[in-house]
Amino acid sequence: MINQNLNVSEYSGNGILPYILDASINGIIILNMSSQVVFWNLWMERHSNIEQSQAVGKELLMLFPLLKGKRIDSAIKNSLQHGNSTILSHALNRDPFPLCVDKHPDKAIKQSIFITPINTAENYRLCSIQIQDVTSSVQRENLLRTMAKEAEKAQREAEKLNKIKTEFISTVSHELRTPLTSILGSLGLICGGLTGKIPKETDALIQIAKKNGENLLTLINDLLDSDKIESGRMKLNLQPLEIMSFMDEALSRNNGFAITHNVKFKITKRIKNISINADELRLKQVMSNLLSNAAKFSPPQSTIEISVERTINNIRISITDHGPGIPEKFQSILFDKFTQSDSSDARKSGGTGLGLNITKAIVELHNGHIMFDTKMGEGTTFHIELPIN
Amino acid sequence: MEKAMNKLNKILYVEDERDIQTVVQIALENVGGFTLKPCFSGVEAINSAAEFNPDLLLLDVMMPEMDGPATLLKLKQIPALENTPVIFMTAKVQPDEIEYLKSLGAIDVIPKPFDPMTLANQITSIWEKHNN
Repeated sequence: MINQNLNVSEYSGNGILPYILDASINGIIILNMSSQVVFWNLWMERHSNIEQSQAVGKELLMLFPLLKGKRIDSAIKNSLQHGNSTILSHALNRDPFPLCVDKHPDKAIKQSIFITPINTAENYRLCSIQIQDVTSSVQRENLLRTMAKEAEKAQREAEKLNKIKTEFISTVSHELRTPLTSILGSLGLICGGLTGKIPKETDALIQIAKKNGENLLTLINDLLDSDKIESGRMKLNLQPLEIMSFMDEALSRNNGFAITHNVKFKITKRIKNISINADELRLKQVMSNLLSNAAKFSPPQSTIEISVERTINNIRISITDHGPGIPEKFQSILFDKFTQSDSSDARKSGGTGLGLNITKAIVELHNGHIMFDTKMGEGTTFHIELPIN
Repeated sequence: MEKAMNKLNKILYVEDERDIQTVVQIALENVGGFTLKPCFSGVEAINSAAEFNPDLLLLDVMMPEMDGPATLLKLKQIPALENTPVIFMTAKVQPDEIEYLKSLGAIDVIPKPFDPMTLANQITSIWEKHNN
């Protein structure tokens, strides 16, 4: 028989045990089978405003009438009658005991309660109620919850702004392309001789207008691409691509830059019959950016050398110019947006400051790498490495 | 189907921007040698399409009142144009926008701006590719 009642007068503690229980940082209440308090530690005294001497011998529900019928009431009965343990978390049982710090009602203690049966050697059944102060964890949880909500709100706001930005760029792009279609179309027809022979001076002015119109179109395209890269919407259409045929075509397509800047493109090393998986249009964009940059920054009548080699797993395309080189302070930010080594460069060279950033992103989308070697006064070599199929 | 095998000659062209229409008209008539029926709106195109009996429909996308896709839908309801190929011209050049236009049945999409000196050749090669 382990359910005999222990009279309050028979309880005297056992050596240092009461002192240990008094030193506990948790509230400890021991009840007998009649739900009378047989032990009430110092923590309980401090936080309930009920002294040990007032509590011992009283029924728990007399001390805290508000607990009657609550979950804790049935959990205590369950423990004493059936020997079951119960944990009452703060989340599901908000502050069953009216406990507070420094007797201050505004400093209510958040509680986790552990109710466990105690079966003594003398076959007595007791019930231990341990009350843990979880106020600071609850406060931390609430703070984290608030912060998470704020972060979620900020994320939603950022996504909304990003969507607005994308829509804005798309709309502006459309609105700018429409007049550019008329401008470049008209100039293209005049240049094509549709309106008759053009005097030399007029032709020079038309070429200026055409070139600047094309620069504006490049800027619009670069802004669209940059937004696509930033929002992760740039997708590649990968197809097998024989690299030397591609390079020959790329050089031929970009020869206009060489003519404009009075330089030459020359392939110095070739490889045979190697294909890579690539998005041809995007790779053409990469070559256009690198070849036009090389042409822009090269001295007139110089040669830009292009080599195509195979490394173990990659093909490496290197484009070497004999321009001024890249100043050291710009090398680490060269692939960032809107980076020009000289603030007047954009105007002089017609660049948008987005080309290298987009180039790097496209190469990396192909699982490749882009690097450069540069020496002031001697020139720069850009290397692209792309994986072989 | 029989019409599709013929040489490309008559193009019904819908564009609400007068300046762009002028450029395209010169590019297709003077450079390409095509017979063009330019229209400023979808309604105008629908009213003149059956009589003109085009080999190809060339449609702008963003137009007030009736846009390119709505115009295409109405034109395709005209029995004589049921199988007439369609090309869109658009300044909306995002891949998803182009894919959407192709999903409506367009044989291709030409982005704006275009090179007016090669526009006729571009349209001819799209036409030939479609017929082959």
